[in-house]
Amino acid sequence: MNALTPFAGALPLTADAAPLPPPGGAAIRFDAVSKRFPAKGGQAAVAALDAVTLDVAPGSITGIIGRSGAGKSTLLRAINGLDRPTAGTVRIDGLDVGALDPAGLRALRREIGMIFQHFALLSSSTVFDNIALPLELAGTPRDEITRRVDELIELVGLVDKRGRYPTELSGGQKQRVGIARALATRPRVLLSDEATSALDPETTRSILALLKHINAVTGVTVVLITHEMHVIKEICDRVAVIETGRIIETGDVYEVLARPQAETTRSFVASVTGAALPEAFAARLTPHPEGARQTVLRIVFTGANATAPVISRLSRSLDVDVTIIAGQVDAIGGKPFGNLIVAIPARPDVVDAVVALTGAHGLQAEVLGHVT
Amino acid sequence: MSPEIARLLVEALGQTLYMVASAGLIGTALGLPLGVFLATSGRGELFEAVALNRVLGLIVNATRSTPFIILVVAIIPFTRLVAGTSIGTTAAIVPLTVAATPFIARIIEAAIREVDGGLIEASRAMGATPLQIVRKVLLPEALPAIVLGLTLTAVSLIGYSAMVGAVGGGGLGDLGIRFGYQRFMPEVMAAVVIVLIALVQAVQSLGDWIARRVNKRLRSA
Repeated sequence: MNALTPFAGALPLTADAAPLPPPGGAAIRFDAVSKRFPAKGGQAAVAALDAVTLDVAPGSITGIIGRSGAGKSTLLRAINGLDRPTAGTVRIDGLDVGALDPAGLRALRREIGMIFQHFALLSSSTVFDNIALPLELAGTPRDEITRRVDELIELVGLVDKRGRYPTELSGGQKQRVGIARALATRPRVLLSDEATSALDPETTRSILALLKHINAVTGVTVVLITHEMHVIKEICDRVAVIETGRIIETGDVYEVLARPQAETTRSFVASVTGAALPEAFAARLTPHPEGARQTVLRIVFTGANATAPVISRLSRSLDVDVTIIAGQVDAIGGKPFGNLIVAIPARPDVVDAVVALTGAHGLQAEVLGHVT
Repeated sequence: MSPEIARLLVEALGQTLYMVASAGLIGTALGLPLGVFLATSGRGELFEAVALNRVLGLIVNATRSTPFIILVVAIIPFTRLVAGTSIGTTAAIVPLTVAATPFIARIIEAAIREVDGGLIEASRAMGATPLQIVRKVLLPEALPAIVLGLTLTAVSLIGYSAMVGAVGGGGLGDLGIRFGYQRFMPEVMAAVVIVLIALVQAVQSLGDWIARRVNKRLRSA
């Protein structure tokens, strides 16, 4: 990917003789974490998080996806103690975040970098000074700050912007500064709060590529929250889907995209797999087979069977006319992944035979509805 | 204009500058921490102290709602305590400072409250102490607004300083009243007004220039 080329010279990040060793990633464990806001002014008590239990593997890129207000932001902020849960524990490599005193929490926060949707850069400081801020706060000696910041500026590809102010930068460049700043203290965890939501698609891709590169090079554990499935698809290993404060689904990104269980997950997945029904078609869809002319199926191609020539076999061996309505073939984490929506004649025997045949090829077929 | 009047004018200008500069500097030294505290001690803020915040807010409001000429007279015992006398240019610095401090505090408070809350959160996430957040984030980010606010304060103080003639403070306003008005010397009045206008213009231009220098937000990309 061309977005990676600017960071080709980034390898010294792990090799240099830094005072802190290359950190690697920390494991994060949420255990029955709840956050309740008490009833106020006639409003009922609100649970932003409801007994969330979740494991984040060290060195992984874990995505938490949910709609706004689902609680993902509260969950992310529980990791560095910006938000204090009302029940349950968050542990980082076994360290209970909730049990730390203010000084302990500050020390922990130096090991957890964070990037933000709106970048949160100091408008009064240059690129260099913005990246240097966490080091200054930590009392790092001046010459070491200079060395480290210049290294980071190179890593994120902003060498020519060293002395510029944030207003002189594009959104993508600002987020690169944010990422460099978050990495300044060599954190073991990097939290991303909708870091690409304010960026255009191309910039989003290059920022995600940068995050993935940093994860690969430093081993830092990345936890990101987003409302966009394509972000998850692009860089995450693991995904957790959150809705009204509960984790409703969790697993490997490929598994969840291939076989989403919960309704919310399905709608998120549909946004990236290209398998959403055309709207005009969806409007004509009914759940009742009576008097229908065609039945609409979703066929999911995954794993080793993703390339099976199932459509041609359907028409050949079953003599069924298959109309392709929507579809997309893609790769997720290097594994092929396809998703096809087709219409077949609405006869129960035909439908059963088609489902059986696709099943025999190791694919899944699911009836979405019927069309008259 | 006679050389005598010119000499009086120069002397009065010197007194005005002395009073305004002193009250401005001392007022900033006192008003800056007060304003920072007012802006950061509300509920859920960095130095949460809601009761103290309320009390200080009330005192600030009380001082600001007292007309300056009343304040000058009302705090004469305090002025005597601080300056040793209640009469003269140096003594006049006391009521000017008392008036300037809450004014500056409110200006600093407003400027700090304008700083994006996301920056406070980001610095907390970096492990900054509350004091570091004030020093490294809030004050630098609020600086352009603070500079403009202090300019406004200086202009107001020039106006207030015209009233301290009531306690023998001297200055341009006093010269205008005593010579221009009471001795029917319209040319003195005119000269005082012109010097005051020029002074206010100079202060404002200087403030605007500094604010532009420290404001990195307006540089277009």
